[in-house]
Amino acid sequence: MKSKETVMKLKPERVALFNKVVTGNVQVEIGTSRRELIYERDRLCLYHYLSEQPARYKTPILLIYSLVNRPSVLDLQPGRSVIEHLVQAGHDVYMLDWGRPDPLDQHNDLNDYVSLFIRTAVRKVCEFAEVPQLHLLGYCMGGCLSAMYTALYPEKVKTLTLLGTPLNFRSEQLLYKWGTHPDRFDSRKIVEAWGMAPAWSFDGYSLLTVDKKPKVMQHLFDNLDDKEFLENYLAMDQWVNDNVSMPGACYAEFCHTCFKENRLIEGRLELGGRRVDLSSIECPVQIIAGKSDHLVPPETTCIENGPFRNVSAILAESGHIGLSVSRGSLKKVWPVASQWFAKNDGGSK
Amino acid sequence: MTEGIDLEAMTRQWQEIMMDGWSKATKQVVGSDSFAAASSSYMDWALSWQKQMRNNTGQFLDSLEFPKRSDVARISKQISAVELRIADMEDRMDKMAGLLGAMSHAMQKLVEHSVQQAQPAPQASAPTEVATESSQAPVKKAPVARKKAKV
Repeated sequence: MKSKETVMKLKPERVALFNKVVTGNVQVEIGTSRRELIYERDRLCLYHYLSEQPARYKTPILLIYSLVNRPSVLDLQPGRSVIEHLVQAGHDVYMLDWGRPDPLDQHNDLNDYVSLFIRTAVRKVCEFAEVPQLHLLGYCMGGCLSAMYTALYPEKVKTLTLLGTPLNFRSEQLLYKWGTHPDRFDSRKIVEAWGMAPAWSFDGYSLLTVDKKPKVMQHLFDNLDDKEFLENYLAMDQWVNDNVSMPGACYAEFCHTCFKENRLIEGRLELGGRRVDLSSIECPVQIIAGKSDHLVPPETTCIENGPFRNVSAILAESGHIGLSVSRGSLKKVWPVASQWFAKNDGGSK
Repeated sequence: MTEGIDLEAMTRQWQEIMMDGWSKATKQVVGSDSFAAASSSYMDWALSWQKQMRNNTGQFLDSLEFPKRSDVARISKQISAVELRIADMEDRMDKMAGLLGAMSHAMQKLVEHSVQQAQPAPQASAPTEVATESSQAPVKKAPVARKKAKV
């Protein structure tokens, strides 16, 4: 019986499908929630997510994603989408999409992202929703930018949520050992050579999980006939391999000031001549971290002993990407986060 | 001779051993200091070569008096700087509008208060024929600043 199963698994069409999947020749559609474009500036787009029902809560949520990947991970597939979850919970959801920066954007630095792009997006959302304040939700590096923005421009931020966001760049994890070494991986050299941090340079992150690769392949091969599993795998794989280039000035500044010198948490970071002091943030802050996150381990998220005055924390049983796409997070983490937004809403619509 | 030997189970076992071996070995290699040092040196070498190429291309374009990408990017940066100043001005205007709104509200309250003060107290006797002009004149409310959303 077992041998029969093995023979079935090794059928030529199955092997051909496996080859197609691992070489990225099968595509699925991701990021399918209905949305409208409400503001556009060159490559930057601000989207409003549409719902059949009018939003129940007055204060909108603006999602700010990292500059390394595409934001589609927040809306991967129906049933595996943070955006879909929030919209269904009655929130008015917006997302800032950075687009795909090219060499013309190479001089954009952290101050441009915080003081110009995020500030404009916040203003546009407030104008569109006709509200004075919004909930800001930043994911990964987008969380760093959101925290910087909130520290510098607190007026329009009702609450701040940091999802898998590193604030204290000191950890024993490999990424931090490499990134914080004084003599290695000098980000400024990458920028001098390319002007940008090329998209392929972020493929190096795959080295951090290279030990798990054969087991992942084995699991894929064994479950190739499971349609739902295959669709999930393809969606994730498509997103993981869709890195974007980062403007050189921003990349070098982020790596040098945040990673190497840890200035953000120490209150020594300056943007546009103004000091970014995270301890000055007075609005409620929600920190969501993943226990097994190898990119942003819990100790870097300041889930304990952080600089904020009014903080709620959620430590999820997941990794970095699982925070937004795993079924466990969507069942356990996001309902709690959604309730927190509702609690801090200040009145229904 | 081969009866009782499960070849498939053996293959599975061998596969597991190989995968565990790979996992341990790569974890050890990638996590080692020598790997980090070697990749860093290789990166430095590759980047210095690329930088040289970039400089040479730049010099060639300079000699032809063609603008380089970085020249165009500099203009883009200047536009961002102008936008940044506009954003600053918008914030200041918001603050001013807020202050004006608060002032207008306070003025309105003040006018209402002074009108109430100016009105004669109701008397039990018949109303007097003579009334002051100010108490009869309709009070014009101060306009309240309204923020209109731009879409």
